[in-house]
Amino acid sequence: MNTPVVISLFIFLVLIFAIGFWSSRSLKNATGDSFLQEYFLGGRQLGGFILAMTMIATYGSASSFIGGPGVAYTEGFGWVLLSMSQVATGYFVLMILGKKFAIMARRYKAVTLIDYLKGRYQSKWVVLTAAFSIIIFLFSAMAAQWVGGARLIESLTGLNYTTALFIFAVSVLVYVIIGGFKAVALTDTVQGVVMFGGTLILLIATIIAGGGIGNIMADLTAENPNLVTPYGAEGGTESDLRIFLLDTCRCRSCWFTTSNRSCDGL
Amino acid sequence: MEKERKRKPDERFKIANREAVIGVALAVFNFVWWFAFAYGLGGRTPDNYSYVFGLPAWFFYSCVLGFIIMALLVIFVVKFWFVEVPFDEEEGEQT
Repeated sequence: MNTPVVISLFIFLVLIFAIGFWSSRSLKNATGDSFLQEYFLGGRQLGGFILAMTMIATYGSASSFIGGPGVAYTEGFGWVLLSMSQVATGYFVLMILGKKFAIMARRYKAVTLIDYLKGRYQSKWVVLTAAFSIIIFLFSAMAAQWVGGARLIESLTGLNYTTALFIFAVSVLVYVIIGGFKAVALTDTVQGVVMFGGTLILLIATIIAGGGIGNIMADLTAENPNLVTPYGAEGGTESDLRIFLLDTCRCRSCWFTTSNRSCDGL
Repeated sequence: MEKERKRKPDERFKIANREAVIGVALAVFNFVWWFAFAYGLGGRTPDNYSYVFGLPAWFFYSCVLGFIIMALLVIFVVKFWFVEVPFDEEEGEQT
């Protein structure tokens, strides 16, 4: 058991809970319709910094910290290149949908994406299809995140997998139930800051440990010259296509969450 | 209510539309920049690569510089071209 890690994990969880409780106070005075608005949307009043950090925390999921580095390790720069194609998704979705969604969602009094589609298409089947696909795809995406989170806790603390999954599930459930969207947005903000800072420290530490960027590149080229090309470890279009498919799967969840956010958070 | 809305087209949607077009233009520019530097400069064999700040030149221009330029462009566009609009319905339409 790795005591410093367990202690910092514990402090982090307590902090997250505290934020959840604190932000749930604004729910107490709200009733009925305004409770729903407050719970799901945080009263539609979230600032730019919170939105930015929420988006970092949304994009930066288990796949960017556990799966992504693994693929980057085997495929080299080709993977990083394709990951960078996601830069566009954030501003693209927000610029196209943001304003219109914000206006129309208020007109329809929509709280969720489903409400919005209901108001827009007035069709039972659109609503049912959307609801089912969100449940199915979000469920599978969430399952992957939960496994990722549990594996992370397992490998850091030395607890067994089931216990780790239990800790992860309970903490997620507690703060979603008590706090609503505002709590999620605030804890996302804290996590976004932690992720950003942590990644920065890791980057610097990695460059120092590898003996400078030039040295790392030389090692990579010596290992397999294809690692520094945009084509992936095996070179050629076949491996390109494989990376691309992997990446698209990840991208899709980003697109979804971003458009969801542009309906909710703004 | 629907007719009323059609007679008087909502200015806000014109703004939203213009900003959507800007978004598409930015994304297209982003893709061209990203693709051209990556596969244009990176297409040769690794022995002929040049390096910028220790990174392969194609990667530096495509991913590092491209990201910085896109971030600056987005900041610029949002600050100077985007217009703040009220999101709530105009009075009279709702109680």
